[in-house]
Amino acid sequence: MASAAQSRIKSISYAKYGYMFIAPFFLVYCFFQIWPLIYTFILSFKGNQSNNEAFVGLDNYTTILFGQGMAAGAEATRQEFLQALGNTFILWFGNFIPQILLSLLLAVWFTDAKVKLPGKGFFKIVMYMPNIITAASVAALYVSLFGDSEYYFVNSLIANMGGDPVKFVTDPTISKGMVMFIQTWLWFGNTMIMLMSGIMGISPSLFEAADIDGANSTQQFFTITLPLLQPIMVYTLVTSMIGGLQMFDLPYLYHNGSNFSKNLETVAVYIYYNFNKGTVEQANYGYAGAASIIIFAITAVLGSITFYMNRDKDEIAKKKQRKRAEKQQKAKMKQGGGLTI
Amino acid sequence: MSKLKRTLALLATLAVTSTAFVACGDKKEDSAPDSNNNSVADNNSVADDGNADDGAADDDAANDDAADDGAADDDAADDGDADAPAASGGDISLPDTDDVLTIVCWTDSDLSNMFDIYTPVQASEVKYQNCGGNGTEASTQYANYLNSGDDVDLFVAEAGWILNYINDDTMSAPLSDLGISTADYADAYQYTVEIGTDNNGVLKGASWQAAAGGWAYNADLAKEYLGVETEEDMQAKVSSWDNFKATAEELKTATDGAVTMTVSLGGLWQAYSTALNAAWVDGTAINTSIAADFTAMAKEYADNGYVDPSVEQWSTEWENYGKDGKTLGYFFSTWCLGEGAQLDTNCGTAGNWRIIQGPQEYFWGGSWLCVSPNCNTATEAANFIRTFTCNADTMEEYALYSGDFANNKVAMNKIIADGSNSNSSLGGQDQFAILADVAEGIKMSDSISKYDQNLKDTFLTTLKENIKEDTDAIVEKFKAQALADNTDLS
Repeated sequence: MASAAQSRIKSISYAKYGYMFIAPFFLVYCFFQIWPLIYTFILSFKGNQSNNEAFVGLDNYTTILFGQGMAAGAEATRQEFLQALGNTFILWFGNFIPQILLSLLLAVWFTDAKVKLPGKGFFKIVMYMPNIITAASVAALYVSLFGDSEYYFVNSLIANMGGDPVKFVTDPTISKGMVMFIQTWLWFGNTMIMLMSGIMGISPSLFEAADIDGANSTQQFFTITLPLLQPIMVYTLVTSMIGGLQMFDLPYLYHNGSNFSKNLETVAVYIYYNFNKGTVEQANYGYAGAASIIIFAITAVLGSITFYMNRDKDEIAKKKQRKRAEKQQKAKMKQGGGLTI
Repeated sequence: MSKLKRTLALLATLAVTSTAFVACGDKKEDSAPDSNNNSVADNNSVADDGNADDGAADDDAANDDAADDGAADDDAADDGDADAPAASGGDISLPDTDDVLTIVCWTDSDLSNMFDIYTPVQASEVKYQNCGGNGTEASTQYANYLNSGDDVDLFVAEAGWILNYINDDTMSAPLSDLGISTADYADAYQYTVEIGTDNNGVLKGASWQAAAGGWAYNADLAKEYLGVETEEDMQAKVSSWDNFKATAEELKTATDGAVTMTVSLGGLWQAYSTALNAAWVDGTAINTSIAADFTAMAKEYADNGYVDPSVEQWSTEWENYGKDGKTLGYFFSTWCLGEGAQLDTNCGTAGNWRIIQGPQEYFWGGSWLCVSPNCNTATEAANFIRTFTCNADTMEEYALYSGDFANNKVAMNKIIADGSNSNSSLGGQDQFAILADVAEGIKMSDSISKYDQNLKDTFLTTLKENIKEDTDAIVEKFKAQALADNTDLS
């Protein structure tokens, strides 16, 4: 009897309840995430506008990348896409570089035991604050402050001082600069918190030892902080790159009137615009799908390169050494074994 | 015990699964009332069902025609028994299974005026559902809404993009399905009927307004700088595009460039493009002659400071030009002139404003009522359309109530003859008297296409952003962008 009960207990597997509990997530995930992803691939091989049912092979890709396709505006499409791609990279670099420098500086100051900054908590909160405002509000705020004419705050100041109104919103260069600035302002607090956690993860004894050895703070920064911060820096770089290549909200929202600004058109805006202009018969699903896949490929390649460049070289060298040693050991064993037997 | 556990686990799983799909939506009507933005109209509560036609007859006994009576009949299946609908011109073939008439729109400002007038004659609840914040948004969001399966009986479409919807049988049904035919629009302004007709000649949209436009000007400034005393004199000074330009030059000299003739390229375009009367798309080829023509004009106006090309149409800046007395006038359509509209609230708050016909007869926008193929409140829908697009008496009432130019010659001529309208923001002038002639004179361009709205938007954006370049370069840029946007065209 006991043995029968025991065997029954053994046969009860609780794993299936686990599967049942996670099943809903996976169902929803497949339905709303996996399938749309696959469908984007499918769409990128189909036509545009009234031709949207037909399979057109690589036509969308050749149109977007090389300006060769069956549509009359193939070359114009290529130029628009390349312009969008260029804008994406400009806007990303333009906000990532000042952002990482500023964040790094602040993170070092805030974590430095010698600086003893009063009100650290307050500053941290204030600097993180922009990040919790929605991009829509931020865009509305900046457009109403920096509008093109003297009816808006900043330009009215400029006009009072006798200057001509500056086209903060419509000028191709200045508007890009504005978006870079806003993005930096939005994200430096977030990056700063991230880097601070990285710096605080570095053992204080290293800094103390350096102090005793007489290293100044610049030397400490370049020889201790930066090298040990590398994993966090890579993480920040990769997340920022993915976010930057998909940048949509501010470039799309920062404009006057009802149309988004062509000067700020990023790839994500290009995709959205082509996907969403009017009825099914008017939208360019093919171009939107192909552009999505291209930006995905670019992200994947850049991501891989970043990881490759930043991999732990010492660790890899050690691994190789260990393997080589193992091999030698084995070879020795074989040789030796052959001899002894 | 373990059975209990298992049952609980199963229940929890089912609950999670079912709630995971809760956002997928369903076809039930109650999803519409729950949505936002439709509360105002809900207070037009259900009129007493059985007595609906009695009530209507009492209130409007004198002015109800047979059609209205029939349509206001109670909503029990009246196809067979009542002879009134038959007398109204056609059979209603759409079903009558729902008791709430849902009208999809993007702004309730027109509809709320309508509801005020419609309440006495309605037989069942009428409400609106906002979809999109403005006409442009609505043009893209309607497609999703109409396909979603949510309740929709009628929808409002704008001139620029109505063709996308009426040429698609899955989006719209012919008005004849509600027993309404072209013959019912003998008194309507002809261009509104032409726009409401699809490629196959089927009437699918009916407009309650004729969006005729004129030129509103600041009479104080005109007197000060141009020495113009009356509206007739002003009209003489802007009666053609040549005169308009000459007056602009005169104004520039008199004010040293401090006052512009009009504000934005958008308004100028709206009036001028009507004169060109050419199709944007010829077969599948884009016709750039319109673009070239207007670009040349716009550049001349911009270079000479007759307009400010950087001003966005309808923006605060645009309004301030009028408010600050920095412009002589605006191109205004009928819907800019009513109470609470642009002239009343912002642009015309300073100075003494008047409206005249201006250099060009044109129309601007306008909204059409279209029938959804899923319409399930057919009788009420037919009644609503007839009340505001065919019935001269209710349309007169609507025009006086809202200040909108009703799409009915009989009604408008009566108002003008009676002198019953006076517009306080125009110093008591009757704008209908001016715009009636305009509305009569509007001619539709021979071929309008579903690409027009996109091409116009693309053109105006390109023009504004590149106004400093020469005409050929602008047209070239516009064409490249238009082709990139529209793979169907060449």
